[in-house]
Amino acid sequence: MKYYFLTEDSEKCLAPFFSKMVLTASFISVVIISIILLIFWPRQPLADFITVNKIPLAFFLIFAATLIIYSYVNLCCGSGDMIQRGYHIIKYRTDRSTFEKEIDFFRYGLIEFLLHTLILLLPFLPLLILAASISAVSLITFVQAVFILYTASLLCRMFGFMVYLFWGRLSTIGYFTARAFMIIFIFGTFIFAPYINPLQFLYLLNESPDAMGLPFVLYMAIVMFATLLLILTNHTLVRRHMNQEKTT
Amino acid sequence: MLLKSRNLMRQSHSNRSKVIIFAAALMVIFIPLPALSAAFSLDYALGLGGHFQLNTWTPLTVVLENRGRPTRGTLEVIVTSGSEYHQDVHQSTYAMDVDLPHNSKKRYAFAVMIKSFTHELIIRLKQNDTVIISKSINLRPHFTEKSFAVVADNFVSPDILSVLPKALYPVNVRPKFLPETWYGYDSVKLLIMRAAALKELRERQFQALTQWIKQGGYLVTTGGLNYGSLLEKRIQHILPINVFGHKRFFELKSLAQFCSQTLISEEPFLVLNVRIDNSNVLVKEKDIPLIFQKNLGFGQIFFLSFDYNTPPFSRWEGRKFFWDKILSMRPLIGDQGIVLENQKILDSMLAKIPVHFPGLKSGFIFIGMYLVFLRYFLKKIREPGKRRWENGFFLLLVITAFTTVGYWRFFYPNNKQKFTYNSFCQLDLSGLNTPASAKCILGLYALKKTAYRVDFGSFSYPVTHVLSKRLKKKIPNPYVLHENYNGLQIAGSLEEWSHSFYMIKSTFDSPLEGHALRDPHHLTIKVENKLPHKIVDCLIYFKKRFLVIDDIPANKQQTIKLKLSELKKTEIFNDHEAEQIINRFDINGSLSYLRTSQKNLTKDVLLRIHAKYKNKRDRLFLIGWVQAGVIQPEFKLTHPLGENLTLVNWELTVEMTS
Repeated sequence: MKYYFLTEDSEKCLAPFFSKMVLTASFISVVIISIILLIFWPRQPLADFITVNKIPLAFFLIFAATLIIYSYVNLCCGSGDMIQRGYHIIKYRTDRSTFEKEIDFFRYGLIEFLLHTLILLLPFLPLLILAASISAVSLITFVQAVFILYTASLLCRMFGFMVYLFWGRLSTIGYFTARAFMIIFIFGTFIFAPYINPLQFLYLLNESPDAMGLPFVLYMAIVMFATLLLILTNHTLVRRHMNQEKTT
Repeated sequence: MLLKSRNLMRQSHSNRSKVIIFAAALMVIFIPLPALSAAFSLDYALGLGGHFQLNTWTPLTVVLENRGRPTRGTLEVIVTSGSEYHQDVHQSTYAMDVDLPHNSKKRYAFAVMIKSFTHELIIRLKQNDTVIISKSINLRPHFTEKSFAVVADNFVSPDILSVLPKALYPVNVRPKFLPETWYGYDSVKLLIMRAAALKELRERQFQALTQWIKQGGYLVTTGGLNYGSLLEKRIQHILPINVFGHKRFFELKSLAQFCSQTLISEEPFLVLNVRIDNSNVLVKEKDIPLIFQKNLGFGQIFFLSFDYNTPPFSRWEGRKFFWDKILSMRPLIGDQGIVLENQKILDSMLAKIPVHFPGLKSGFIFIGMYLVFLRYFLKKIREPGKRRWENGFFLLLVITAFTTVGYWRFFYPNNKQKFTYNSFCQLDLSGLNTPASAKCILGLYALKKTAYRVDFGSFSYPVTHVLSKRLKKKIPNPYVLHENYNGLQIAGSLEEWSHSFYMIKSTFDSPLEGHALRDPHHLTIKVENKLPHKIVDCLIYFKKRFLVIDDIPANKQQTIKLKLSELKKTEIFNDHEAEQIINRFDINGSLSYLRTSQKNLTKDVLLRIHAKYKNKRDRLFLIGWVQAGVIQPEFKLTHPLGENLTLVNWELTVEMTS
C-alpha cells in the first residue's frame, strides 16, 4: 500500500502533506494566530484581574481563532481546494479522480485524514500553550481544548470530503455547502445546540474549567458520533465510486 | 378446592409478610433521622444576659445533650449579615467539632460577630452533611446599641443593675456563660465580679478574661467577707493580694473624696484589710485601703475592700455616683499610632501578588524565534528529495522544542502557583511597658478553584473578612471559622481568579524596648529589637523632620545618636521631602513586596505622622519595616507561595537630660 499523500504532490492527491499550498496555508495560519496572541497579550498586571475577579480571555480567544482557521484549512483540504494545480487542472476545467476516491477509504483516506489533521495541529501547539499559560488553565483543560480543536477540524474535513465525493471539487453548490456547514457547526450551533458548540465550550473551559467533566464527554460523544457517520458515508461513497470505475 | 383455598391463603399470607417486611424496611430507612434528632437537645445562651451589641464579637454558649448513641459531628453557628436592598446578604459560619458520648451534656462556647438583627441566627448540629438538630434565633429582641456593664455572679442584689451607669446597658451574667475568648468581651466596658466568681471560671474563661484585661479591659472585683478565694493561685497571678484580716467600720467618709458621697451605716460592717503589690490605693479609711487600682497590660483591675453586694453598700444611696466614678476611671485606649486605610493596604497587597503574567517581551521573542524556525523548515520540506524526511524530522523537533520551552518557561510556573498569599501587619507601639497592638491583613489569591485551611497558631484571634472596594461583588467567598482547642482555623474556598482578605486585630508583648533622651546637643535613642528579624529602612520623626537611621538588627540593642544641629539643617517635612524619601525606594527592575509596599504606603504614613505629631515637640516617632509577619499564617491543605511584611510604628516620649 502506497501512501501517495506523503510522497507525491501531484493533482492526483487531494491534500498532499508536503505541497506548497498546504504548507503555506499552515504557516499563514500560525502567523495569524501569533498576531492575535500578541494583540490579546494582557497589558495589565495579573493582580488587576484578581482584584476585580475577572478571568483573562486569552485562552478562549486564541483557541477560538485557531479553531476557525484550523477547521477551515481542514475543510479546504477535505473538499479538494488544496489540490496541486497541475497540467490537467490548468488545461481542463474538469475534475480528475484522486487517490482518495480510488482507494478504499478505510485503507487510505481515513488514515490520511486522521494523520494530516493531527500534523496540521502541531505547529499551533507552542502558541496554544502560551495562551493557556496566560489564562492559567490546567494541563487537563489544555488537553481538553486541544481535543476540541482536533475533533471539530476532523469533522469539518470529513464533511468537506463528503461534499467533494458528492459534487466534486469545482461545484459551486459543494463550495457553499461545505462553508455553510462550517458556519453552522462553529457559530450556528450556539443558538440551537449550545452543548455541541465548540466556541461555547472553549469559553466555558476558560471560565470554569473544573466544571466541564460531563459536558466534555457529551460534546465529544456527539461530535465523534457525527464524525463516525461521516466516515461511514464517505466509505460508502468511495466504494460506490470504486465500483463505478470498475464497471466502466 | 380445599387445596386451592389453602394455596390462596398461603399466598395471601406470604404477600402480607412481604408488605410487613417492606414497611419495616421503610421504617428502618426513614425513622432514624427523627429518632436521632429526638435523642438530642440543644440549649443556648446568647450574648451577655441574653443581649448583644451590634457589630461586636458576641459570646454564644451552646449546650448539647445526647441521650442517644455516641455521636461525632460539627456544631455550626450561622450568622447572616447584609441587606437584600444592597444585595450583600452573606453568611458567616462558625464551627466546632463535637464529640458526644451516650448520655452526655456538653457546653461549647463561641464568639460570633453579629452585624444585623434582621436575619435569624442558626445553630445546628451536623453529621456528615446531615443536620441532626437545628435551632433558629430571632435576634430582634436581643440587640442593643449600647456597650455593656456586666455583673457576673450567680446571685446579685436585685437593684444593682439599676444603679449602674446609664451610658451602659447593665446585665447580669452567670459566670459559666462568660466568653472563652478575649474578644468575646468586645462589647463589655465594665465587668463587675466577685473573687469567688472568678474562682468558678473554667480555665479557658479565666485565660480569656486575663487576656481581655491586658488588652484594655476593665474589671472591678471584691473579696467579700470570705477572702479564701483571693488566695487562689490564678487570682494571685493577676492580683497579688495579701490579706491581713477584717476591720470593723460604721462609716466610710473617705468615699466622699472619690464620689462625693459618704457611706454611713447604723450597723457595723466589715472591710477587708489587704495590700496589693504594684497597685495604687485610690481611697483609704483610717489607713485601711478601700479601693485599689492595678494596671494589667493596657487594662485595669479595681479592687474594692468592701462587698458591693451586701449591706450597707447594697443599700447605699451614693451607689450610683460611685459606679459613675468607677466607669469614668476606665482605661481609655486612645488611637494607636497611625491608622492606614484598609483599602490602601489591600491595594498595596494586590499590587504584589506572588504570581504574574508571562512578560510580553519574552512572549514576543519566543513567538518571533518560533516563526523564523517554522518558516525555514517549512520551506525546506517543500523541496522533494531524500532530505525532505530529514527536514520533516527537524521541523517536528523544532515544534517539540518550542512546545517544551513554552511549557516550562510560561505554562508550568503559573500552573504551580495557582494559590498564593501575602500578609501585611501594622504594629503600633506606644511608650514603655505597654503591649503592642497589631492589625494584620492576610490576602489569599487563587487562579483556580481552591479549598484552603489556614490558622495562626494556638492563640485565638478575632478574624473578620475584608472586602476590597474594587470588587463589584459585595459578599465574601465562602469560609468557615472553625474553632478548636488549638485556636481558630479559617476553612474556605476561592473561585477562579479571585481573592479573599481576612483581618486580625490583636495585642502582643511589645517586641521593642528603649527610650529617647535629649540633651542640649544630642538626641540619643536606645532600641532593643526582640524580633527575630531586623527592622529595615527606618525613619524617625522629630521636630517636624524625618531622618533616615540605620537598620535595627534582630535581638540586639542599638544606640542611635543624632546631633541636633544636623537635625536642624534638615528641611522641615513637606511634600517634596516626602517624594524624596519615597524615591529612595525606587530601584530599577522588578520591585520586591517590601519595596512595592513602601512605594504605595510610605507617603500616606509620613503625611499622617506629620499631621499628628507636628505640634508634639516632646514626641519621637520611629517607623521601620520587617520582612516577616508578627502573625504568621500556617496552611494545612496546601503550601502556597507567599510573603509577609510588617510596618512598625513606635511612638516615644523624649526625656530631657541636662
